[in-house]
Amino acid sequence: MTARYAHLERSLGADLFAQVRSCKVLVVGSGGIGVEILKNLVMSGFGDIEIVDLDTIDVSNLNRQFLFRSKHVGMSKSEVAREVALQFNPDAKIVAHHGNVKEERFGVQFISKFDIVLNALDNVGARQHVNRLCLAAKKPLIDAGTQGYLGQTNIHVGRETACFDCEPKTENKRTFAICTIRSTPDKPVHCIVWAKELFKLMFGNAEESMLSGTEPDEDIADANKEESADPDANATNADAPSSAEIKEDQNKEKEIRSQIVEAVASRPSGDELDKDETVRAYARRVFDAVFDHEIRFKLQLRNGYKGANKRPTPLTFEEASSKADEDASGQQAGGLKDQRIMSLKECTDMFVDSVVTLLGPERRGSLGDMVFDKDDALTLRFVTAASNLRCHCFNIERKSLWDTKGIAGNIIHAIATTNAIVAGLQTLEAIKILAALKRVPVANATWRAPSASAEDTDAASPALTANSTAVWVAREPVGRGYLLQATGLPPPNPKCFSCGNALVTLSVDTSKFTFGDLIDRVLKGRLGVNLPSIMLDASELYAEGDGLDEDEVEFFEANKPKALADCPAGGIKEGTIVDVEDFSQDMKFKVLVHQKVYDAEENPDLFEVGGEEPVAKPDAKEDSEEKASADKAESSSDAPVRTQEVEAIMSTGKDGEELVAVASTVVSSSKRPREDGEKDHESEGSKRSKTDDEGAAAVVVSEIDLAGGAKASGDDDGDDDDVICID
Amino acid sequence: MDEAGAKYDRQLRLWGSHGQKSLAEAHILLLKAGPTGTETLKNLVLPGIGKFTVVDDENVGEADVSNNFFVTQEYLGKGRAETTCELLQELNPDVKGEFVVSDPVEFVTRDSTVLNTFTLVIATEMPEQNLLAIEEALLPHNVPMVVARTYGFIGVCRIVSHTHCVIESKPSPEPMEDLRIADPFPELEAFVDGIDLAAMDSKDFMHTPFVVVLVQLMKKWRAEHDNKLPTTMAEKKEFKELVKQQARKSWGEEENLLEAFDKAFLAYTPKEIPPEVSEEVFSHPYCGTEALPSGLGPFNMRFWVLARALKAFVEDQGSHPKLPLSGKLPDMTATTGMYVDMQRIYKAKADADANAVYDRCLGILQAQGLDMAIISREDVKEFCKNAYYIRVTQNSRISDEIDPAKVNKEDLEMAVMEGVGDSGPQSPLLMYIMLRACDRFHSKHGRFPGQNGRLELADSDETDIQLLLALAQEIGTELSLDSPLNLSSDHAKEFVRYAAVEMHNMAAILGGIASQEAVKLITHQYVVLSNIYVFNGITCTGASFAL
Repeated sequence: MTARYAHLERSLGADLFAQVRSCKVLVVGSGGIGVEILKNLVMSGFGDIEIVDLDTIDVSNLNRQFLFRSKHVGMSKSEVAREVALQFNPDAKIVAHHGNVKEERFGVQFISKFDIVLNALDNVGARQHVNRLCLAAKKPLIDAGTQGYLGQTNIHVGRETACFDCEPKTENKRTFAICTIRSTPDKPVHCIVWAKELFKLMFGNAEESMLSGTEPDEDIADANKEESADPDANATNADAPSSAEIKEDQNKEKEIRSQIVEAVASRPSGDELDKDETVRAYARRVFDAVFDHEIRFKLQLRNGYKGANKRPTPLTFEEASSKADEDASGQQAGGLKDQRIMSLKECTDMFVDSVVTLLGPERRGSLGDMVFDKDDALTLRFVTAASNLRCHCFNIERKSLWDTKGIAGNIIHAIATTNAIVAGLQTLEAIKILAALKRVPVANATWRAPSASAEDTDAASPALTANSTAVWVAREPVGRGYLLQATGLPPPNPKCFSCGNALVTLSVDTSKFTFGDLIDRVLKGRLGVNLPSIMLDASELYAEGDGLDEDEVEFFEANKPKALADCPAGGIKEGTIVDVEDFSQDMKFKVLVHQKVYDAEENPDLFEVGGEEPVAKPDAKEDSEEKASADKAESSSDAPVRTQEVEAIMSTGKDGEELVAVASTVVSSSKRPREDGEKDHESEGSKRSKTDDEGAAAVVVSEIDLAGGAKASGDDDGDDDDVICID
Repeated sequence: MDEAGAKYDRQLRLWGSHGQKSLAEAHILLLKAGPTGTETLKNLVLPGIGKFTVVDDENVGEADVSNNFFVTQEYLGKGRAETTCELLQELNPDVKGEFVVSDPVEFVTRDSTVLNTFTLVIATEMPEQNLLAIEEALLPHNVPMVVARTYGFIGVCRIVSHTHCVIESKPSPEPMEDLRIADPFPELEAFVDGIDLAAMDSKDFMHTPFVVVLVQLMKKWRAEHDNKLPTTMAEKKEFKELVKQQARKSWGEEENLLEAFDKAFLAYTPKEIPPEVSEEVFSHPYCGTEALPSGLGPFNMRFWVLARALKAFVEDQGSHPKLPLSGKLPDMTATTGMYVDMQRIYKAKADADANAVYDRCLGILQAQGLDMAIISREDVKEFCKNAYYIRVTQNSRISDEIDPAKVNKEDLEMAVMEGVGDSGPQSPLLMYIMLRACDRFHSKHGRFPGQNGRLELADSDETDIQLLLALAQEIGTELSLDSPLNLSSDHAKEFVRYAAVEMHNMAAILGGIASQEAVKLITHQYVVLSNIYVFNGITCTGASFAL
């Protein structure tokens, strides 16, 4: 061994270091955490590394992704990372894959060639996917995420410890009731979501915009329902309108909505688009329709804005254009230009100018297909202007261009320091896992049993992870020790559908919730299924992926708009069990459906997912256990090492033998430490939403949980421009 | 968006453009360019500090190539300072890098005037004796220092900062705004008095802000209760019942009343000035009347002038003094008109308070013969907004920490008692004692225990093990703790095995921790670590000690 690795040999011991040199490691993601891991691995002597990333380098990566320089902007992250890392350790073998880890080529077979997998991902969906691949391939997974100053690492060893899905990730979507967006906003984020919908209506796929419908708003419809439900209450309530009045209101509401759609549809076409004045007049028509007429008319309705905290004030184009000097404050000393709050006049000008440019010769070609992109300055200007104008009407504080970008694009804070910490911890854990995996004698026996904790752990103590810990990174120390807080690894959750073969219970209103919602919002959106196929009583209701013939696709698509209860093969109703399988994740589970009607105010998702332990172990479980022991016989190094074996191995270690991670010191509490999740503007909107109609649809904005926990995202590159709008 | 705005976007959202400005103006001095040092500096160069200077007197050796990312094979034999400076600078063209080939202690003691130019010092690979000398040299210049160290699987981060002031401590979760419901100011009272709830129709009534409801009810309560606020549980309950009685519809239908019920405690709990402000800031020697020392640096100078002005503002109020109003009004059920009116009233009061503080600032600046321009009206507004959260922290000196007569015995005893995370022999406190013993070994023998060029422990290391254990026990005895430290030869063996090596991965973790503290110190945002953080990489446990 050369002097180059002398210190590592001394610290890790010759045997373990040899394993470090030869083991195969996969790093998924080469963003902020990924490049740190890659550096740590290379500098710790790891000699055989593969990296996967689908991203290209963006200028906003350069503040922390230190392998990248401005000359690399636009190039593949994984490939540049590989090239740069090799300059620092030419001994290492690094293979870079530019692609999405969800692609078929990175399936279970691919994962199987590695000893350890490290996740450095920025979104829950991909983390769930890799977790399932690792479960299927029986490979240890070392996961991490950061957000601002907060971070966390976790170890998932197939069916020995909790897997990534064992703690349900329910917070990865931010949902607002559609009514909050359409009529009762009380946060800037509500107006920003609305502005993105207006953008869609005007320039994108208008049909998908939730502003496109002309049906009355929920609060109006709702009043009707309340009345019929409780006629007595009405009699005593002098304020309540009669049903005839409500009918009238609803018709008016419909009329207002049609006017907006008409105003938007009155877009000039052909040569007219080249006339500046004509286009400006159009922008003005839309302006008046949404900021003045709608609000003005609706204020006249008996139940207009009933659920709103504050009743809005209409804003005419003329009035807005003249308010140049009202309090456009908020300018920080030394602040960037974009961080300034614009005056009403500036917003109005920006609204009109951005409409003109969006309809200009360069952009008009993609009319009907345009999508909001936070990094597209023009679309951002439109959304900022429109949302601020709406904020003004509803007396909500306005936001700068820069803040709007953060909220609209779901930008997650990301700094070098936290990434450095979690990546360092992950690499440390990788070495510990490797020692256990390869049965390297690492322990000095007396050192190893320092306290009762190692002995006390119950006999089923997972061997591979005996020395492993999950660690939470806090912004500042809480009490004595919690700048970094280690916690023991929890056992698998028997209610987990990913590793526990448990039933997933789905509570939903089967008469309204559609089969398409089940696929997109429940299976893909919540449960992270990649390519679901769905069976009901041996008939296949749905499948996707390659190799389907046209008839099948047609049949599957035809099922999507149907309510669950109206699906073929008898329908999906209370007590129905649906089989779901995903070959790409090698995962199979059953969904037990319960009929339940939700109030959109309490649960805008309109569904709930829970886990239930199987009453009798399904066959699949036994199969997998058999398979596991068979695997073990064939290639023992891959199979989970039993506790007793490790004890034996460890005690054979020579006295004075090097140790890596000997003492299994499980810190007192396995509970997640109290973490005052950083609250920032992005958390807005988590507040109550105001709609009373259970039939109301919801807007779902992808978002990463802010608590900085297991749900925390990896680096920020998952900035998500998508507003998923479900009507 | 400009280039810098785009590049630093994700961090600007965390510490703001003023925080970024502080970073961009910072000049960092790195003492010793080993992996812990360069990893720390890397995390500061990336977010865009202004300038750094690397001081080191060694040449690049094989060990550096293997554990330091900012050293490559082709630099073998060249200076470490020059090499790491060059490669670190490549990370970010906005940052200027310099290097000096010198022994660090010599550098800081040779010409002390140069020390004034640094914002922060990062010291690594530094035994105790050297740290003491550096601390001594830095003291008169009030330059804070972050000590970062990795030693095998053990890491330590230590903050040395005489007085550190923070305006934006950014408490999390954000506390409730001061709405003065229990003690309304005259303008608020006049506004509330002008509202006749009884004359309102039910629609207007349910859109009356909860603040108005509570202020009116409390006024009524006080009139009936000898001008006293509810104090006992029973009285508080009674007051909350009073809120409920206002309902005109069935309870729960009027959202404003639900809000009033939830926030009723605001009506009988006047917001107090927190002890961190009234005691730690106001009674600090710098908050007196004497001339402020000139070497404070611009941020601290501003801070103390503002703090003195705030103190005067508070003292001038007589009994029941208040901190300035922030002027922020949270979202609540209200008619637009009434909400806007209230916004105006709160903002006017906040402006008046800020103006009063500003006037006192001018007086202080004048009396002190300082430049009147160093504090703007905007500065005062920002300060007043944060008035409840300003913080001053004082970290002990290393010379006190290692002196058994001056060390913070209370915290030490507490740490021993707590067992620190129940980790027994792996306790970070024991690791701390072992590191002190290693330093003592170094000062006696001119080398660290186990440093003998071999790759593995040998029988001959037994001597070092015994010597090290004896030194550790000696330190334990000197500290004369109530309960004995549970040190064994296994501890000594482990540290001899480390032979003071810095593993890259541990250096990366410590670099992350140290740079995070450095950012807090430079931006004066968030609360910094209290003195010492010890991290045990074997168990991933850590603990902080205020020694």
